[in-house]
Amino acid sequence: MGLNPYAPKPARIVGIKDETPDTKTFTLSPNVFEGFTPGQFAMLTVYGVGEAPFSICSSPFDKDFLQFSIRRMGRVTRMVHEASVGDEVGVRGPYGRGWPVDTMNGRDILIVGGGIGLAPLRSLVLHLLEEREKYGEIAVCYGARTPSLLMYRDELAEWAGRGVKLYLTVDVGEEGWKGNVGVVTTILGEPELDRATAIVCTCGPPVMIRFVLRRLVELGFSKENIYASLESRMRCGIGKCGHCHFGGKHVCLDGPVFQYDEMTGLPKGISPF
Amino acid sequence: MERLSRVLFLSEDGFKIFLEQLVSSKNVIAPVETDGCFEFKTIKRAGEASLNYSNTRLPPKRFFLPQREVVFKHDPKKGTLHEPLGGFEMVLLGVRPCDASALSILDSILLKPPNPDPFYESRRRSITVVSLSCAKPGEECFCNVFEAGPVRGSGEDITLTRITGGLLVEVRSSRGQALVDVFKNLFEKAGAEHLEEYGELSSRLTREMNSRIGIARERLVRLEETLDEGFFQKEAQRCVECSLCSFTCPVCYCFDTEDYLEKNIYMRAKGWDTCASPLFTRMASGLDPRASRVEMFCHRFCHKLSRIPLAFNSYGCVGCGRCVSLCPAGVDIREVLKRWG
Repeated sequence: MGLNPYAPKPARIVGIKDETPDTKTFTLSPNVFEGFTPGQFAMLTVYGVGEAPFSICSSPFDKDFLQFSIRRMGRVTRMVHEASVGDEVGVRGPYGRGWPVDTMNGRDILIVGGGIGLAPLRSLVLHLLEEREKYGEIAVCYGARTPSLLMYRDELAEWAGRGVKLYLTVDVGEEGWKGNVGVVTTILGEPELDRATAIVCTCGPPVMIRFVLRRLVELGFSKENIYASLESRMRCGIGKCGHCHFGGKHVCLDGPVFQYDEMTGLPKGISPF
Repeated sequence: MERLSRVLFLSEDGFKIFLEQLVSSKNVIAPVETDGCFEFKTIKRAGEASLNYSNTRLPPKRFFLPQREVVFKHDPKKGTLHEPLGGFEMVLLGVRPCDASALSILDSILLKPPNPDPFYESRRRSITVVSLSCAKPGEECFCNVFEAGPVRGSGEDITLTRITGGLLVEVRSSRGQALVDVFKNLFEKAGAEHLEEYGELSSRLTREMNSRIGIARERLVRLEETLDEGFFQKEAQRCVECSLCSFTCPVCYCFDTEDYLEKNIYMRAKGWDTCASPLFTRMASGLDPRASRVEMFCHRFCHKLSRIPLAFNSYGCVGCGRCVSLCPAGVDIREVLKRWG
């Protein structure tokens, strides 16, 4: 038999960090991938329970571990949340098409995230910061429903210190929040970027992506430079099981990162338009 | 007539001996009549095969894609158990051309690099498919629309066609050749009269079927773009979401996976699933990108009639008619085709 694509490789949980009340970041070691592109995903197995797709949120430059930020949502994620450091899980991948990192050299980059949608974008930010000098401006516009739902809060300041222009917003403020209040579309115009050539990468809830795409075009960003990461139920990750097949595209193979024009051709429901 | 790879003739008597020798030397699966239905079953004697059938109630898909199969085992102490795949060797005899054509579509999807399905691949390699041409297509048959029959399919290793005095034997693959080689003294060289009769049979049956239903296939591919929400309204209203259409379809291949613990071993099985199920695309968050039945029908029919053809140059339907005859709600893909094409 050739390689069994349904068999994950074992890895241990070596770190668990609380991000928000319902989301934790898990560090797995060893890094079972030879390499990956930011924005790619993996299938994570809780043995005997199930398997689900998650964006890789660590940097491809981190060779020793992989990280996944996981929100408690269904059966598999609940069991992941109940796992402890030292527990073994299964990982297979990396799958799909990630962010267009090869096109980013010398250009301004705008990263727009909503809620846990920052996870695949964190991988991109860390990748860009590794060779910061290769790129123009890097701006991150990030929003969450409330301040306590902002992901990677302790890292955001560090990103800013390493050359990222950071714009944060929340839908509803909390005590002590002095930042912007409003949805993420209200801050997209703030970064000073060369909008004609800047690459834009966005991920978040479907409704956010829809309004972000609309706003980006209004602001003069070029459609051919706009990319979004979409989500779908998946079982195999390799284009065989049919679950993520929409309008002739497999989210697992053709995505999860899609260019603006590719998304306009997707059927209603999966299309952010 | 199309160029044949290698054509032989097997007399009536030769066919009897062939069947007897085949069942005594190999694991043979053939249509067997039980309670008025024809189903593929293992036969131990040549006489058990019932070869006067329109088609089997279920397609032979399950021999290549079992309803459920274990694809991964992990021992918490020893790690992942690597068990060799095998033991699938068999001869599948009496497959109708439409069902054989379905296999070539499955090949193009499931064997597509870089991640061919090793479980399907191993079975496909081990099973010799011998098709039997239709002499009298069933009432619900429309294989002619997709050129998936009625005489010759695209995924079989040997095509058998009944002609005067015996069968015309077309060797279609090296697997087919290997089987013929085992019984080579039974086969004769096909004569010009055999080929002529075959050619006439093929064109007569195709002509007859075309007079029942004919569709301009090339139009199907592009029509997806012009579909509106109302197009599948009737089908969507009737559907009772039983999924029989896809579970009895020789082409439908979607699957789900199930992880569980059995005797202290972590297991993963993969089993049939279908886009006709209302849960097929729903995510843990509750979001469902394809929540309505209209969208489901649009996906199901567009997938078969335009997306698979665009990607693989062959249709995702072979016109076997099972979904038509078995649908409890009377959803009829032929009506969709007529309306569409």
